[in-house]
Amino acid sequence: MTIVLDNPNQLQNRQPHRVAVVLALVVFPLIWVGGLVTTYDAGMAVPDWPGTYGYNMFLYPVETWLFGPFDLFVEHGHRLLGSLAGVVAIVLVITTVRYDPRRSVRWASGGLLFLVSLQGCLGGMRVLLDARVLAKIHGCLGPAFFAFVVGFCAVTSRWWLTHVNPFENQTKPIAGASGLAYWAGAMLVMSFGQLVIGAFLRHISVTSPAYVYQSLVVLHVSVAVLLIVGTVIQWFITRMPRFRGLGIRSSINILMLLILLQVGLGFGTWVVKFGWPVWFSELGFAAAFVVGEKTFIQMNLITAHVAVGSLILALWTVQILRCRRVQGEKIQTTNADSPNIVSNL
Amino acid sequence: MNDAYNRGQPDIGNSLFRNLPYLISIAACFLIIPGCEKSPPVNFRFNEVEWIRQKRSISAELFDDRYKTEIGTILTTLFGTPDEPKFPYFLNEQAKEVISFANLEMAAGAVKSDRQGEPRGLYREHCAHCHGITGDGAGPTSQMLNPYPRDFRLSKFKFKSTPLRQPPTDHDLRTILKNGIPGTAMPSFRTLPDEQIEALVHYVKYLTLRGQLERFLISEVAALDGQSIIDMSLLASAQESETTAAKAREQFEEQVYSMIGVPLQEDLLPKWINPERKILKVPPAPAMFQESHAGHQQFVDEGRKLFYSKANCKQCHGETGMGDGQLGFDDWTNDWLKSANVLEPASYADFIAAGALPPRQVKPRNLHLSVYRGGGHPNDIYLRVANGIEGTPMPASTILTTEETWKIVAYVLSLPYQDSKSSQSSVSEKGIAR
Repeated sequence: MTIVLDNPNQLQNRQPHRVAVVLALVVFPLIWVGGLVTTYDAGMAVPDWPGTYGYNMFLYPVETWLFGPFDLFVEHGHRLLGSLAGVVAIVLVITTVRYDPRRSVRWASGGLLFLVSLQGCLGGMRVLLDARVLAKIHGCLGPAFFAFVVGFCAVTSRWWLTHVNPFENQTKPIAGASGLAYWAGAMLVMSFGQLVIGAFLRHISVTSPAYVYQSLVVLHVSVAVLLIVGTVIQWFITRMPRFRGLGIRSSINILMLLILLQVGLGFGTWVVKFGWPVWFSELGFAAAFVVGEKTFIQMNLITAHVAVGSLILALWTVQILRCRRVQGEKIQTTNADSPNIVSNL
Repeated sequence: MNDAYNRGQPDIGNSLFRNLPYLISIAACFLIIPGCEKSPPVNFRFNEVEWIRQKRSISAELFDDRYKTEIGTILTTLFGTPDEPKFPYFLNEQAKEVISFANLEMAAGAVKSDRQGEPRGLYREHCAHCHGITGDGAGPTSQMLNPYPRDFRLSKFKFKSTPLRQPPTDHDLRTILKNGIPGTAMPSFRTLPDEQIEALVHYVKYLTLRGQLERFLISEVAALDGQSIIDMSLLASAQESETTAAKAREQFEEQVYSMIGVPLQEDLLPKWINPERKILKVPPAPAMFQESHAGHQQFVDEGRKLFYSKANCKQCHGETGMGDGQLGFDDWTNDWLKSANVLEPASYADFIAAGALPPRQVKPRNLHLSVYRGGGHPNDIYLRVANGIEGTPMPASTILTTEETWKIVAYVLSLPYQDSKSSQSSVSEKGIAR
């Protein structure tokens, strides 16, 4: 693809990136509150949509929202935050079309607007139809959308636009960078699969046979082990000297921390939901532990497990993009005679 | 800046667009998968385990599958469905004391809030994932939990103030709901308002009575010798003709009430009316029970002797009191496992297929942990010793006097502060261990 810039500084405009970061900062709490809706079983706290108990969503009395039942507070708050994400997504499309010449990035901003609208409609239909299936799809699309937003932040970031390959004289590909990208892609798919399994666990039907839940738990733990191993392997590979200074170590470092945190949160989720596993039963603290249903700790620990899952998905997206950015195997020639023509962005 | 670009970099945008069909396919698969799960509709589940048990213990020929339909229809007529519960209040004037319909409404149905913000579907929100929609203790999470969630249909509740074979009081159930059970997945619902706890208490009783009646009806099938429990033709005619439907349905319901209402009215329901009258009043502890009393240590020592001899607690709780004695199955497992007769998995595969949870032996309590699932107050422990723990191998102490029971309570409460080995050796030295 070749882009002709009217002005060589056109890409230096930071507006799309800033708006994308704002969108990411809105979407992450949105995912947290959305997780809280499921954890608190507040999905049907407001039975109508797009209104709230007959009110226009934005005109619903603030005092009733803030001081009413907690499930109403969470569900209505989720809707308002979702609306805010929609508004920011519109602003993102406008700024991207105006300031970013890259066609793919412009399309991506449109894709984000489409996804946030779809997500809103899915949430609404979940309420109107009281459909658990839609709740699961809604719960899976949210993290995917967040990963998309964070990916968008990455391709509009200063790092992306000013990245200089330290091996600039190298004509051969950076060995292994492409492999890292594919590895990260596999991890992204697996992370998303893990989220889907998690959605099944959280939205399990009360009529499901017991073996279904048991199988899902075993699968969830197995995939978690694979994700840990996959992350550690990539972390070790990026320690190789040839990957120094490329900018792909920082994201994998954060991923390592997130994976460790996620393992702890996963175990904690089990403990606050079902108590300590039976292997701990001879220990006094485990034997004396009483599960507190709908306590602040239970609600937020489980929700944190969901939210960190979304962060991991987003970080793998960034890792793929960064690996692709630094890899040399698809280096294309540039037009040196025409400095205003920029290719391969 | 252009220099940076002109060094040439991969075109992520183009690359993504080229791979877009694959990405969309993968994403679509992941998004469609959640929609593929087929779960049965929310209905009460027939007690297949009891059905197989009766078939095995009596005669398979007598148990025609049409009885399942008849029993299901009878139960629906009397108790409604998980979304629209009913209760045969007319059978007994005091039935409303047992179960209030307003509480049933609040606990039953799907999870939602009404326009006043009043919650609905409390049972499905808080209990059904473990205890199951039917209260059979076989909810989706049940196999992962140890101990298994309670099956209400046997009408056996472990921690209560009433004797064996007597229903618990509302206060007993409320206490469990509010405090939870330490070391198990049974949570404390202390964050719920009292009226919601009350609704759950009533719904548990509703499921218990429904389950009891279902078991009773299944047990009666063998005696019918091929005859129908009720005349289903009335119901069939109600479905055929709209003009006579109301009358035919009314006649059918009257038939159900007159025939099936009897065991419910005369046997099952009265036990649940004012169960407080059966409460075992815990007598005051003797003065020597108090640690400050000069004779307290002697009192404890006598309790230890009883533990190892007359009361024979060591048989299950072990020589050391660490719960390393004889293992056994609880009544919820024994109920069907005994009819399977042998413990080879192949011999009870049909029970497992019918929804029974795989047999798991009950580990007696480690008394050195200072954790007592039914409550750690001396009165609670007195009740456990005196009344036993229903549904478990822990028996009621019919041979102990009040003072002896208190002595055992004192010894049990002293155990966490003793070294198990020294306890064992001192007992052996005194020759009272065996």
